[in-house]
Amino acid sequence: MRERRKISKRIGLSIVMLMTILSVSKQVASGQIVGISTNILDYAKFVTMNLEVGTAVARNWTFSIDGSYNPFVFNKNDADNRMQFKHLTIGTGVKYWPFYLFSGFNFGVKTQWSEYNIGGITSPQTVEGDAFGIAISAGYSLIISKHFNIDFSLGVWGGYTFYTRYSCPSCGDILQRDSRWFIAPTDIKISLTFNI
Amino acid sequence: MRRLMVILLTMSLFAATSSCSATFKLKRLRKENPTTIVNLAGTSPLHSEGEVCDTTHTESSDTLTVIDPQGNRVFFMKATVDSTGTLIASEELQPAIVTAKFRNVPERNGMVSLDFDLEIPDIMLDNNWQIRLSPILIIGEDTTSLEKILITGEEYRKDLLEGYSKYNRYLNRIITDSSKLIYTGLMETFLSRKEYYSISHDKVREYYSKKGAIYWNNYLIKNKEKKYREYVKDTLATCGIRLDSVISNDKKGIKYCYSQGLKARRNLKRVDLIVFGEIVDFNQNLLFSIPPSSPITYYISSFSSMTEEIEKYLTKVIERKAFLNTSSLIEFRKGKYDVEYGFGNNHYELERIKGLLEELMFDSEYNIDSITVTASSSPEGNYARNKELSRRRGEEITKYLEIYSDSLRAQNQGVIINLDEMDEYENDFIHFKLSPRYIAENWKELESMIRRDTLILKDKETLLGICSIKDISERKERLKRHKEYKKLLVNFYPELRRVVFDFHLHKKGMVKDTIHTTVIDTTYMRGLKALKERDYETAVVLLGPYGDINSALAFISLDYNASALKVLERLPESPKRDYLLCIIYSRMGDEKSSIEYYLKAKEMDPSLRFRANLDPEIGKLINKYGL
Repeated sequence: MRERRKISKRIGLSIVMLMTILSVSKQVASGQIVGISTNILDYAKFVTMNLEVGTAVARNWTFSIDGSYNPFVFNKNDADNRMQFKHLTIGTGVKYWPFYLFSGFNFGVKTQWSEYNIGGITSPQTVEGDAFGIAISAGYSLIISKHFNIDFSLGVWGGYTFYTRYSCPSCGDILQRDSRWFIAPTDIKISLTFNI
Repeated sequence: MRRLMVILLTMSLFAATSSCSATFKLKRLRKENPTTIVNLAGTSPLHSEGEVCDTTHTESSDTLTVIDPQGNRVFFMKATVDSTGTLIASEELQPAIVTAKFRNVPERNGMVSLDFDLEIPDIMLDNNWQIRLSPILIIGEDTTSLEKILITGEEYRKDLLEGYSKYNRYLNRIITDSSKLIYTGLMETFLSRKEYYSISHDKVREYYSKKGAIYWNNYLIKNKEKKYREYVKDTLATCGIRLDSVISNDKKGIKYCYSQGLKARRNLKRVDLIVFGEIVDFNQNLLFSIPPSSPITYYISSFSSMTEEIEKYLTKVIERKAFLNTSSLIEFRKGKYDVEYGFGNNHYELERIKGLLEELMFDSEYNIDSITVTASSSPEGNYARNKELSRRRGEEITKYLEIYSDSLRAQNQGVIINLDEMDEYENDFIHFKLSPRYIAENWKELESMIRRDTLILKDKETLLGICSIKDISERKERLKRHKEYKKLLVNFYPELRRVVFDFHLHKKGMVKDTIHTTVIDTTYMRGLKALKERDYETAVVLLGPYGDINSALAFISLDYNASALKVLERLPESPKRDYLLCIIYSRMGDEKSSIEYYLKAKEMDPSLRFRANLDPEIGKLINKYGL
């Protein structure tokens, strides 16, 4: 079961990345505005790699796809201090810019899917599961130079998650297997954007 | 501690006195009620405080009031006996002395110069006040304000200038450069990006404008007026002010010599001058209203009072061409056209005509231009024949006269009668034209004769009706058949066979003739009116061409001395003329001639001595030489 998931995950991910790259390059080639950003704060969150690509749809709307991936496990061999915040999050959404895209305030709505395996940070209990939901966010984009912006944003998302709770990061004792609705913060960003 | 108290006390006392001094001064002002003293220029101030009209003591000191034992009031007065013997109470009145200041000023070149001195007593001067004096001229019913005089205190002036600088500083806070109200750096960075979707420049501008700063700026601009009124209480006036001086601390009174030129206008005989004033502090509160000064009167003399009321009449120039005509009945035999001297009355008529021709040819006054001879026949017989007859008759008469006039000329060729008009005489009398004309049948004359007749004819209407028939032969037929035809034949027809001589003459040497009419020359009248009303420009234009004493007056009033001199020299001697010459010579600097003429004028008219007081040109000579 896990194996199949892994493979399908990999395929899905690569398809998404390919499509993103293709569309971005297509748009760049045809002269449209594209913004590629990466969130600095996320790197503080146990080194999550992330990328967001947004393209202009109209004067006040952009369409964006963002993803973040954290495969790292800290203190893997140390059973007592092992920490992980592994997740893969992909979201697609739109942003409304009241003045002009990629400058000033923006409000965004997106759908987001995330699979995660988090444990060992506050307690040895590890949670593993999928979450699917809708997020809203608000932010401000500050123009620094001709091609760079700094984005600030805050968001919150809610949805449904299926999860399994284990007693420790690397063992297999299942404590709980359930699904529930949830609300959580997301999109807390201070990110550097490169605009073409 | 104690020291501190002492210092505080002295400081408060000091502050109190300095503010008290102003109010103290005001109180003194209000009590004493001083006024600015206005004097005629060059005169010493009148010590007139005691001489001003004193009306409080008109009650006689001779009346005694006594209450007698019965309790009644009894009045005792001075009494005198008058001419009829009755006792009359008499009162002695104190004389009221009124001092009025006046001066005679001459009007020259259409301007009068009014000079006066203003004295401001030192009690009115203070560093914190401004004294505003406005002299007012009263001319008839008009009042004219002259330029004001401002005496500003030092503190007052300082406050004024500080007010200006405060306002200036306020104005500097208002941002006028609109580029300062936008985040230009950010906007430029935004604009440098590739603009894939268009956005209007105004929207970008508006997005990047500093909204707070703009709001504040507008608020400052809105309050500009209020701030102006708050800071700048009084302005540094530049026009309408004769003097604006700042007084310093030495508290002496101020004296200012004011000189004002006034343009001459109609009926400007007397001008009164009063000076009003007020004292204000920096907040423009009226501290004290200076009571008006006692008036000065200027009596203005000008040359226009010397105008003479002359009536001039228009002269018309007309052409005189004389015209003379006479008709004579020269009889011709029936059907013949020769001029027969002996036939009928011809000799008499011809002699008459010849005599007239001779007379006119040698006339001293007139020359003959042309002579027209018109012959006509009576309307009987064939029209064509009558026409031919009239023509030939006219020509014969003309020829006859031509021969005669030629013979006259030949006779008189060598003889010169008039010595002075010799040339014209010879030229003109030789050539004149003799033109023959003819009227075939003189129906017109017949008609008018019938109309005019009152004795002979009875049936005028029918005859006139016949005469108006278009066809001539029918006319003649009908007339012949008329019962009064015989009367016509006998009485009227002979007169129709006549010759009319028209002599066209003109007066010798003169084609134009001047006639003096009784139409009043209105241009001259208007010129006189302008002169009397002191409108000298118009007077000179209107009166100039006439060259009489009034034109000389107009020239003198505007200082056209050379023109006036030319006019006056041509005029006959008279006291006025000599006086005017004296004025002109005095103006030109020739004192000797001026005095000569003055003495001559005075001899003829001693009253001119008083006129001399009014004219400074001769006045200064009188003073210099003690005339």
